Amino acid sequence: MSDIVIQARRIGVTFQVDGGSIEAVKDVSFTLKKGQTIALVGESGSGKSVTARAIMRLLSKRATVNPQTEILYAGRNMATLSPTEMRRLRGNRLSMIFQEPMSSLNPVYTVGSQIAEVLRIHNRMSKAEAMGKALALLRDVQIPEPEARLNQYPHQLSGGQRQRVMIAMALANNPDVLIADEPTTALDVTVQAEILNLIKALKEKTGLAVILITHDLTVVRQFADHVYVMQHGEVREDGPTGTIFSAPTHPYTKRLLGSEPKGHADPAQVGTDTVLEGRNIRVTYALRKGGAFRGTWSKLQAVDGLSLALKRGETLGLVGESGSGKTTFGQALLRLNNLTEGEVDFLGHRIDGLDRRAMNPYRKRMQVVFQDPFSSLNPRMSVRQIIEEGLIVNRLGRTRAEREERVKQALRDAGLPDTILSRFPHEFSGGQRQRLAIARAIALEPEFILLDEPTSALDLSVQAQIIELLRKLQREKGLSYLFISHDLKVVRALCHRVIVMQNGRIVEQGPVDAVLENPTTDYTRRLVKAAFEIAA
Amino acid sequence: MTLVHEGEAADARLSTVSTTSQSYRALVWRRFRKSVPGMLGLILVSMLFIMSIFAEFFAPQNPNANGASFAPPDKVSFFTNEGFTLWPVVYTIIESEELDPITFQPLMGPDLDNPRPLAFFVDGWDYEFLGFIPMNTHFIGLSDGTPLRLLGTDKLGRDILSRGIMGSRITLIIAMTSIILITITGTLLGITSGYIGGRFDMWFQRFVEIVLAFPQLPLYLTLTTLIPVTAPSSLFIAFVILVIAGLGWAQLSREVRSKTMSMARIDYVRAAQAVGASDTRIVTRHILPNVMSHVIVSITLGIPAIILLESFLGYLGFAVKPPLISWGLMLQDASTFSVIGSYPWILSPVGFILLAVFAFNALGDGLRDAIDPY
Repeated sequence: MSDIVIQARRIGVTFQVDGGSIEAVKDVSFTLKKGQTIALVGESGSGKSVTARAIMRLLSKRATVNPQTEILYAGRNMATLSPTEMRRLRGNRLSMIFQEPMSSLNPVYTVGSQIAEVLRIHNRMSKAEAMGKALALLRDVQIPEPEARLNQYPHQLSGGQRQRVMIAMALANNPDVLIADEPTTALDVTVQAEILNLIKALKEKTGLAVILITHDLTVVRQFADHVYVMQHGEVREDGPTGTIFSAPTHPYTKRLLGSEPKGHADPAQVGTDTVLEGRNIRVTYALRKGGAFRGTWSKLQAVDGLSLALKRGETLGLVGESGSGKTTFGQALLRLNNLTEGEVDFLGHRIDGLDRRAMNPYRKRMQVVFQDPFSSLNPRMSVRQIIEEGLIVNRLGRTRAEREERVKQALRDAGLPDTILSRFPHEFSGGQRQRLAIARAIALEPEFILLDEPTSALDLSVQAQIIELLRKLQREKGLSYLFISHDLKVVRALCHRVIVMQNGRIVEQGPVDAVLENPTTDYTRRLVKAAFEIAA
Repeated sequence: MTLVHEGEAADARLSTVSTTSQSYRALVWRRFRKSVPGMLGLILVSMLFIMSIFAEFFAPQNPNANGASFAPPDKVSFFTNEGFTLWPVVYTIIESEELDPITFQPLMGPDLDNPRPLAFFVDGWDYEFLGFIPMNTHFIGLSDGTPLRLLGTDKLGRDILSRGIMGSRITLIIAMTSIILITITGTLLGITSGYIGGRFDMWFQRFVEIVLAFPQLPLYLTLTTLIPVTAPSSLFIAFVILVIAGLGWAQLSREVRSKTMSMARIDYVRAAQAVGASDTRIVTRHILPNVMSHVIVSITLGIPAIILLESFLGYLGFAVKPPLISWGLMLQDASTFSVIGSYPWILSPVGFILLAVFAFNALGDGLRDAIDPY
């Protein structure tokens, strides 16, 4: 079998941590052939990134590669190569792209000089030659106006363009292997599709072998030839992509595949009365430039004349790419932002002109759940204090015992045991923290909850649980949700209606099935295609 | 949906594994305990505080009693005429009949004929324990009541060790009071400025910049010379403290302000706003506790700076006036080269300062590493 590029056997990595060691990767073996894409799939903490870094020998100082590890490349075991020999391979025969394209490019050098540097490290080449090659590479990765980009700095490029530059750098020396560690996670869905297609095209052109690390099953289905499913540092199952998806054998794989968001919102539960209505909402930010005391001010129209109406028991999805103004709009409706113009009705009362004190009676009836469960819970407060705060502030529950009962009820409703009152947020996993955030919101018994990407920081299987919880709460309590998301799959599973936003404006709206199945605008069509097929 | 329920069960299991919950303080302590310099700093700082609170008990001599001037340190030895002893003996310094041919001062040397065993809890000069209990027991001394001078005497013949121990009190009072004032003003103003923001913040920060830009040393000297020489010592110290605090709060307020600004944007503050919490509540329950860790570290690292500043001002004669004792004031005696050359032991207050500065710095470093346990 001469077309095998990397043959890895029993990769093991151990981390030294406070009070012991953790085996992050245990006995992982795989085979990578020329022109093949293998995918390492798993949830966070499954050891997939550590495996990739172990191949590149880019692990942190706290990590040790176990002695039985054998990574054969070109007949030699990379695990035992000297640092000098390894440096010769890295960026030359093996290259890697990372999740965050902003932090992997050096902001003080131009794009062209950074690509040229990679070329000149491994080849004898004049500066002019290297720049010429860099230009050719930028053309290969299909960046618009490559000549101009050569002299630009990373901050002048968009996220997708930066990732293209990273790919150009990775491919500069015609490597045999490209390791892509969550290459599209930080990018918008439409951009994600373009980047993955680019990698695919380059692979076909050059016979590159790709190791793709991702948690996104749609990406895997579209782009990988062979899948390794990882959990707790071990490979649970591997096989050709088609087989894994059609006939998974390991229970974990089955669970992972089963947790793709599915189902539909129940139209029967939508009431007739309107809970929240916004008319012609406009949010303008004043941007200040320079000046110690007085600068020049310019305006940024974040939300541009939006209207919506939300019925009792209904879930309204608000989708769009990052920067489309959806979070600003949602927070403006809740009066967490200042809206510049427009009217907001909540349960029949105008609330747009109210100041903070006047808003207080409404606060307990409208709540919010944020995207990142790690920053939305105060690390210094116990679970009881976090959930009780709203009750104390709104004078709900007269005695301590009464409040405690309500806190416990909220925890049970959110699917958590009620014995955790004195624990602190850092003791919980991401999914449990999001449940805590939901418990905090429902403890006040609101009628409306703003869900600001509540599932996007979570692993797939946890995401499914949170969606199920939100559905259950809506059913039982008749809640109305405004669901902000960029993930159309989750939106389809949870929402009755959907509003598509771009640059602060509504592009399209309607019942979720109608919009997602027959999008009328090009923008929506691209979003839908990116979400459900990737191959845009 | 059986799969989901399985997952939920796993979730719940996970949360019941560890039953004991650790508070923030317990976590910080667990990490702090592992830092060797931090623990060393903590022990030294505690010893320093105990020593200064019970200074009279630890000082073997009355710090204002005069004896032979510039007497060298007593000789401590494990050997007597009879040979080796397990318990150390002291040969105290006595003046001999002979005079130094150059200075015409009586020559001094250890009284080798009279070894006196070192003793603990001996009777000595009278003092009031904690300010109201009359006592005359001292931690260390000589059993027969002969003065013990382990670090020699200064030019007025006062025991340097006792003065160093007593001086720690004034030095620490100045350092602690100023740091408390700095912390209160700096934190309050920093949080206010950062949380209110807008126009107030903009003007207030310009004011902070002016305070920071002040040339500090000339200002200290000018301000301290404003006080009449006849003013009581306590007033003088109060004034020094006010000057140190008046210039010191600005830096801390800047740091706290920037912390507050980033904190005010964080989601849990927004969540508190969403439940309708008042500004006071948000500041006291959400922002202050999270800023405090930073403040505590900058307190422990700020104390050595003030100790150094005091020693420096004291040396120039601007911080503390006799009869009060501070480390800086003690160093005033060491201001001429010939004195240092002949009587090097009068530099020993430097040792006290070094030790105190090291102790607080080590404590601060250890705390800084431990304070963010998440």
